[in-house]
Amino acid sequence: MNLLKVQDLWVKYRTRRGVIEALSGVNLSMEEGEVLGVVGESGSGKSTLGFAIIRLLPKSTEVKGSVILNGIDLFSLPEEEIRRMRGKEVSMVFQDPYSSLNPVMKIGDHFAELMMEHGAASSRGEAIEAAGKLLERLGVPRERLNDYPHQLSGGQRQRVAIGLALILKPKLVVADEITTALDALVERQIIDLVKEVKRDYKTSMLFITHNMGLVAEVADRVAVLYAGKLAEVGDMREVVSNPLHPYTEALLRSVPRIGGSKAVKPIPGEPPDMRNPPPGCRFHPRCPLATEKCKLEEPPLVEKGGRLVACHLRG
Amino acid sequence: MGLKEHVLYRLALTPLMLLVLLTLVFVLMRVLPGDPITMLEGKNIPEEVLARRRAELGLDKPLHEQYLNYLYSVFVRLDLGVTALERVPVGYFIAARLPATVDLTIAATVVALGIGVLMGILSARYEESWFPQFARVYSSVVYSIPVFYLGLMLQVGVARPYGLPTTGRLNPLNMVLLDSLPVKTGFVLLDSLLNGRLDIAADYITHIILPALTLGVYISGVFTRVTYLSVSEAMVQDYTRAARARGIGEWRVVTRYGFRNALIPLLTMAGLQVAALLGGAVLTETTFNWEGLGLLVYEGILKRDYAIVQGTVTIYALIVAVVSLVVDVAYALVDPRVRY
Amino acid sequence: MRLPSGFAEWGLALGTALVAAFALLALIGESLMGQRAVSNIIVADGKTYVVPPLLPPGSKLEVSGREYVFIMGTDQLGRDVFARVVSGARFVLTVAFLSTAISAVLGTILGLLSGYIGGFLDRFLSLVMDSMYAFPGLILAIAVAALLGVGVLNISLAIAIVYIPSYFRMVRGVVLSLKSAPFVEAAVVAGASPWSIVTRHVLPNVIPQIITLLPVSFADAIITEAGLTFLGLGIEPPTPDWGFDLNKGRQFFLAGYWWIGAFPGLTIILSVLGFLLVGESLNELLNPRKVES
Repeated sequence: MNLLKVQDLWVKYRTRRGVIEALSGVNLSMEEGEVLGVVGESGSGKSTLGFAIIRLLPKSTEVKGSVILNGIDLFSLPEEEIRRMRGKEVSMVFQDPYSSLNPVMKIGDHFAELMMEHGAASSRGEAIEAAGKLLERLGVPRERLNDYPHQLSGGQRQRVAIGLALILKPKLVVADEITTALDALVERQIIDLVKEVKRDYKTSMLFITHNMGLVAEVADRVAVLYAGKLAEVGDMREVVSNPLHPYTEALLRSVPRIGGSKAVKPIPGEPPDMRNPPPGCRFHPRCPLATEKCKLEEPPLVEKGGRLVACHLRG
Repeated sequence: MGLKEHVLYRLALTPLMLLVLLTLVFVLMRVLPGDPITMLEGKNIPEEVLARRRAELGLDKPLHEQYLNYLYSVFVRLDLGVTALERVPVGYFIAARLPATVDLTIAATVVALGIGVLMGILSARYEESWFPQFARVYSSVVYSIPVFYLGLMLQVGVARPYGLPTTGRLNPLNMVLLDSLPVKTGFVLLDSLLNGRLDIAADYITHIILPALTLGVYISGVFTRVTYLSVSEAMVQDYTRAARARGIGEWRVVTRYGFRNALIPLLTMAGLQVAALLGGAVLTETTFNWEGLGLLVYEGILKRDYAIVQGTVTIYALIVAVVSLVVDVAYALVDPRVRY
Repeated sequence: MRLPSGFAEWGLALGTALVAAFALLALIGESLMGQRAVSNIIVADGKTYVVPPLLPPGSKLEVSGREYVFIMGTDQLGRDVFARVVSGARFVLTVAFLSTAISAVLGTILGLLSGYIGGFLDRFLSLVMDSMYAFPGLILAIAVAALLGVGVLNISLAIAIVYIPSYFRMVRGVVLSLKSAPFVEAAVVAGASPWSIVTRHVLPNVIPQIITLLPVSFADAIITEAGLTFLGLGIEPPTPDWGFDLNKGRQFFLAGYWWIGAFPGLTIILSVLGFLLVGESLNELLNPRKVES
C-alpha cells in the first residue's frame, strides 16, 4: 500500500478579486521511505499541496478530492482527529525560520508543549531530555533549549524546526521551501542535514521547492507542477537526464552551474494569472513547441516509459 | 542586557522625562498669555497691589530664575507652593486627594481590562461569528459617549432605582468617622480594614462602583479594539500556523501564541491609556463629586486658583513619569527580545 | 454606484451622512435658529412674549396666531433646546476644525523637520513630543485653556496643543522609513534639492496617512471640547455649546427635567460617532488587514 495517495485534488481560493484555482485535479502517490520532490514556480500550487495534505488551508477555500495517508482518507476525518494526527503522523517544516517559532516561548517549551500534547512525554523534564538528544544529532547544542528563538541564528532555527517535525517520528514530513529564506552557505548545511536525516531515519518526505538543483540532490522521485497541474512525474535521475515535458526542460536549463559552460536560459514569459488560466495546455503561451492543439485541448497525464507526463507532443 | 540593567537604564531616563514635563508645565504657566493675578483678583486692582502680589509669587524675577526656582522647589524642597487665597500649602490638598484618584484609577483599570480583554479574546477566538462585529460597535459607541454623560446616565438609570449612592466617597457619618481613625494611610479602603471597620469599607465600595464603572467602561472600548487587533494579528503569523501544524489545541493557540504575543502591543496601549484614564478621571470625579485630584483641578479652575492648577499639573507630570517607568519594566518582562 | 457591502463600507456611508448633516448644521444652523437659542423672548407683531422655562419636549406655544413647537423642550431660562443644539454645532465644529487644522499643520511640519534633519534636533523633539503624548491630554488642555481664557481661537489652541504629538509621531515615522528607501537615495544621488525631495517624494507618502488620521482627530477634538466646556472653560454664556449645556442640565436631570442635558449629550455622541465611523472605515478600506495566505 502506498504511504500517501492524493486523488483528484482541486483547491480553489476565494478572494475579493475572484476565485483562484490553485490546484486542478492533482494525482500523486508516494511510497514509504521515499523523498518526493515537488517543483514549480511561485503560484504553481506547490505550497498549496503541502497545506492541503495537512489540512491547514484557510476556511474560505474550496477543496475537492481526497488525500489518503496509510489508507485513511484525511479529508473525511473530523477536525479533532486530524488535529491529533498533525505533528505526530504528518508534520511540516515551514519556509521562514525567522517567523515560524513563537518569540515568547523558549525552544525547550516548543518541544515540551508538542510532546505533552501528543502524550509522547509525561513531564517537561522528559521532553527536554529527548529534545536535547535530537537537537545534538541535528547539530544544535542542547543548551539552546533554554534560549528564545531570537537568540538563535537562522540556520539553527531551521534545525529546531526540523527537530520539531521529526521528534514524534511521523510517517510523512512536508518540507515547504525550507531553505528559500536562508543564505547560500546555510542552505548547503540544511540540505546536507536533510540528506543525513533521510539516510539515518528513513523518513518519507515531500520536498517542496522552486529550485531544480536542490531537488535533484535530495529527491528519489520528482513531480513537476505548473499552474496547478502536473506536468511530469518520474524518477529523479531519469527526469534530469531525459526530461520529457518542455517545462521540465526549461527548468533544468535555468539552473546555474558554477564553472558550467552552458548558458543559463531563463524561461520566457510569466506564470499565468490563476483566476483565469489559459485554455488548453496551461504552458502553451511560453512553450517553444506549442501547436494549435496545445492551445485548445488540455493534455492528459499519461504514462510513458515508467513516467507520467502531460504533453501532446511528448506523451 | 538582562532585566536588571534594563531597569537601571530606564530609571536613569526617568528624571530626564520628568524634567521635560516640568519644563513643559513651566512654559505653559509662564510663557502663555494670561496673568494669574488678574485672573484671580480681577482686572481692576491698583498697580501697587499688583506689583506686590507679583513679588509675593516671585513673578517679578527673570524667567530663567523663576524656572530654576520652580525646579528647585519641586525636586529638592518637594514644595508645590501655597494656594492663593488661604495660603495653605498645595501639597497638603494633593496628599489628601491623591489616594482617592489612585483608587478610582485602579478600579477603573480593572473594569476596563476585564471587559476589554475578555471581549477582545472572544472576538479573536470566534472570528467567524457575529461577536467581532458586536465588539466593534461596542467600542465605537463607548468611545463616542462623553464620560460625564455616561456617568449621568448611570446615576439616573442605575443609582436611583437600585439605591446606590451617587456622590462622594462615603456617607457623611462615615466621613467624620474616617478622620478619627487611629491608623491612617490616606487610602480609605486600607484604613477601614486596618481599623477593623468593615462597614466603612463596604460603604466605600458601594460609592466607588458607579464612578469606576463609568470610567472603566469608557476606556474599555480602546482595550477591546487593541486586544482584538493584536490577538488576531498574532493569529495569522507563521508561528501560529506552525503550532496548528503540530496539532496544538485551538485554545492553547489563542492564549499561548495569540494573546501572549498580543500582550506586547496591549501593554504599550495600556501605558498610553493611563493618560486617558487620568484625564477621564477629572470628568468622572466632577460628575460624582469624588474627592480626588481631578475634582481638585476643577475646584481650582472655578476659584481661579492658579497655584492649585499648577500644583496638580505638576503632580500629574510625576505620575506619568512613574507610570512610564513601570510600563517599560513590564515591557521587558513580557517581551524576551528586550531582555536578551 | 452600488450599495455598500460589508461593515467598513456601511460604516463609511453612515459616518459620511452624519458628518454631512453636522457640517450643514454648522454652516446654517446658527443663522436659522440662533435667536431662539440665546433668548427666551419671541417678538411678534410688535409684542414681546416670554417663553416659559422647563417646558417638556413636544410642547406647543401659541403666540399671536402662530404656533411654535419646542420639539426638545426649553431649558431653565426658557430657551429652545432644539435651537441650542442646532446652533451649538457651529461653535463645536469650528473649534474642532481649527484645532485639528492647527495640530495637523504644526505636527506635520515638526515631524518633517525632525525626521529629515535628524541628529540632536530629532532626539530633542522626540523626547518632548513623547513626554507630551504620555501626558493626559485633557489636563494639558485644561491648563492651557485656563490660562488663555474664553473664545474660539483660545480653546482651539488649547486642544490643538494636545494633538500635535500624534501628527508629529506619524509623520516622523513615515519620513524615517522613507529616508532609507531606494528611490529617495536615488533622488539624493541625482542631486535633487531637499525641498524637491520633500515635496515630490515625502509628502505624497505622508498625506494619505494624515488623511486617515484626520477624522479620528476631529472626533477627539469634539470630545475634548465637550470636556473643557463641561468644566466651564473656554466658553461664555449665552453661547450655545453641547458640553456646557450638558453640565447645566445636570442638576435638572435628577429633578426630572432630563431633556435639557440629554439632547446635547445625544448630539455629542452622534457627531463623534459620525467622524469616528468615517475615520475607522476609511482606515480599514485603505489598509486591509493581512489575511491568511
